[in-house]
Amino acid sequence: MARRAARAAPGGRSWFWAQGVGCGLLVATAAPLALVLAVLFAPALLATLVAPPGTARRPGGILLVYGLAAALPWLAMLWAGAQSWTASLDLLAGARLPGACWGAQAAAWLFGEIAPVGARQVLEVRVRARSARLRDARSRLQAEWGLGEVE
Amino acid sequence: MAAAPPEPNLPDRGRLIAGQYAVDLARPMPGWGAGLDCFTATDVKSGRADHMALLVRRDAPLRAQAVNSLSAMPIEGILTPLAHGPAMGPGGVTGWFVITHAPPGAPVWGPHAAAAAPWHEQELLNDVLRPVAHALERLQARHVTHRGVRPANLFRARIGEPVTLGCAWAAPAASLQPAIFEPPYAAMCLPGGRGEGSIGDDVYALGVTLLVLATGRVPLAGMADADIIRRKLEVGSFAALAGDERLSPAIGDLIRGMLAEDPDHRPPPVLLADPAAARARRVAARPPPRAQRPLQVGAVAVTNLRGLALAIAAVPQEGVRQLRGGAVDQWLRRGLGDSTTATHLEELVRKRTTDVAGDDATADGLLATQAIALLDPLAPVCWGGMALFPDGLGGALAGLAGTEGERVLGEMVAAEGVAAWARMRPERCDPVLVRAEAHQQRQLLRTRGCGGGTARLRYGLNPVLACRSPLLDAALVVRLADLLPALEDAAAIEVLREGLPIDAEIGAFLAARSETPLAGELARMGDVPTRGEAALIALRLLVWLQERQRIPALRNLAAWLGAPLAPLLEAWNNRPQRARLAEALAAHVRAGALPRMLDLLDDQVARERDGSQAADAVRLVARIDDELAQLAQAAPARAAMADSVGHELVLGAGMTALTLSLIATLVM
Repeated sequence: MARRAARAAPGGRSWFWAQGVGCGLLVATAAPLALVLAVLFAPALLATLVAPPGTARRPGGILLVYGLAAALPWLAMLWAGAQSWTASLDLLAGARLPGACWGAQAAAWLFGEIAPVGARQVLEVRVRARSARLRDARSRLQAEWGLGEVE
Repeated sequence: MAAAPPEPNLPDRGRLIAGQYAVDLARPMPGWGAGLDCFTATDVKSGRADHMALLVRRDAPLRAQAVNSLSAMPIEGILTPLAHGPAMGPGGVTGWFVITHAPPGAPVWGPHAAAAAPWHEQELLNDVLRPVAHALERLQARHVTHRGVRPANLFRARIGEPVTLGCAWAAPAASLQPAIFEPPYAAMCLPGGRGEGSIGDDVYALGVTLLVLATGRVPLAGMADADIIRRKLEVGSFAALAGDERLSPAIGDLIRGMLAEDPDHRPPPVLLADPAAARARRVAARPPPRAQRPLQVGAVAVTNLRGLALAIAAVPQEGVRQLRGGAVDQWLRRGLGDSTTATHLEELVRKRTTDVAGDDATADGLLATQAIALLDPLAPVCWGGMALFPDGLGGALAGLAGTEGERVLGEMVAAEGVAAWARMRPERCDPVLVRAEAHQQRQLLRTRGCGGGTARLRYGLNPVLACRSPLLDAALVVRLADLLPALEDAAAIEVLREGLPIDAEIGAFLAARSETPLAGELARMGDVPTRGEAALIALRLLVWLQERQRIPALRNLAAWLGAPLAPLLEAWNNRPQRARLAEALAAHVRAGALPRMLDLLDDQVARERDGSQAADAVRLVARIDDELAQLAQAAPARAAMADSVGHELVLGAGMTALTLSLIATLVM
């Protein structure tokens, strides 16, 4: 699925290859960190994989940003610390980091669903107001100038 | 202090003729007006009641040019006009009067006459011939004819006094003259169509007058006019009237000369002042040739050329049939031995046959007119069974207004029958002038709309003829200034308000009396598609009249026009403006402000602005509809945009949170 998306977009193959190389390097050089990232950002990865083709903004990116914002202090500590498997597993075993990261990603997903609805409502309200004003103007013109009803 | 003398009980200055003469309807003078009603009149300036007011008939206008000329400088021995104008007449109807001095005494003939016994020769010569001849001589010097010489129009104080010639200008020339006093060529004309004639015609009438006074009776009394004319043409005027009378040689010679058929053969007035000299001058005229066998034209058997001309004039269709059939040609050559006239007639008939322009009736009419002129050099213009002289067309039209005769005269004008007559007899008129007038009259006749037609001619040729529109009720409207007040009074009568205030008669009257050409507007009145637009043109004309006269308000006329004008407001597109205009129009109608009504309805600038604004409104509505359609069609695009905006907002918030988290991490 990811490969199909990469083939479809121009330059997508290069980006996909770069992503692969980056992941490989990370796993090779910082495997414990890679494990933590994989677990913490699994919802974002899942959202990316299940997003319908042609989606304007990839929801996975939004989840990633929110998750990163929530997990950044701990990731910084892990990076600055031993980067051992023990530290990684301790982080993952604890409820705070996964909870915060997944919670942020859940909030991102929720906001991503609610915000377009809100925006649509705002636009519709403006359009309805404009239409009402136009109809009022037309009625006034018809009454003033004796024009017939226009379909 | 002595009391001031009481004010004289004088009529209102506005009811005086020329601001000076008052007509006393309580003192009529029956039989003194030579055929017209007349009353005593008073000169309020001098207080003298020795004046007479002659009532002009509505269908027989006065001779305006002669009246204006004579009133400026009266002539001794004649009751010349002093003034003329409108005043209250019998029955409470305004009439037009001509003021003269009162006659010195009763008429010498009629119920008021002292005696009907024959006058003595010296009485005739001294009391009638000389004073009337002098009067005619003075008229001749002023280029004015009398055309009313007859015993009933001669007045004298007492026996032995010279007579005074009465007024003859309060009606068309010779229109009141019985046929016996007129030469045949004038007597055969319509009463109003005899024209000004010549002083020789007055000499003729004077000759018949002398004969009547000399014999004490009217010759051929009881005979129909047509029979009198025919008899005069058959045997000559003198033989017809005085053939069996015993007259003194002097009187007989004088009358014979005065009754010469050709006016150029009659003695002029200057010669008549010396009867002996007039007797000595006798122009021997050859008697006209007579045919042994008469020619039957209709019910009349003719024996000479002038009789034939008269017969064709009386029954033109029968006459033309005989002309074209050759019967006349044969009779002229064989019966009269006049091949010259026959050849000329043949030429006319040939020209009629080959000239295919115009319709048959017109061509036959022209043939008859020209044939009559050829046969009788003295004949008037004959058309459709009627006869008139060119300068009598106005009087003839006035007398025949609204009848079939007026329509027939219109056909004559359309065919320029007068010009055709002038071509045959250039020695009796100025043919160039007559042709030019005939052409001009034809143009007037052909003017479109209610400013043209025979009515236009009628008013144009009669400057003092009253307008005969039924809309004016009984009001006398002679001058343009009389029209608006009369219409304003008539507008109060509901039944007259069915049409518009300007009908064909008023339109023709307006066109004839105004110096400004109104023919265009009057023609458009008949062409516009709606009554409202016709009413607007009528309003325009009335305002033009009102501004010339400065009449402040005409409430009745405004109310008359209000109803037909109201639908014009429907042309305004803007509804609120339409309502405001309707309200304003109603207010102007109540105030009788015709100019404001016109300004309101005839504002072309405002109408154009309304039209362009209406077009703008249509375009604006179309744009609104387009925009509404676009808004409806753009719903899916809006939804997509809303999704995009929403995701951008969420992403933006996330990036903000990430940035803050990064900063916090770096700081800590």
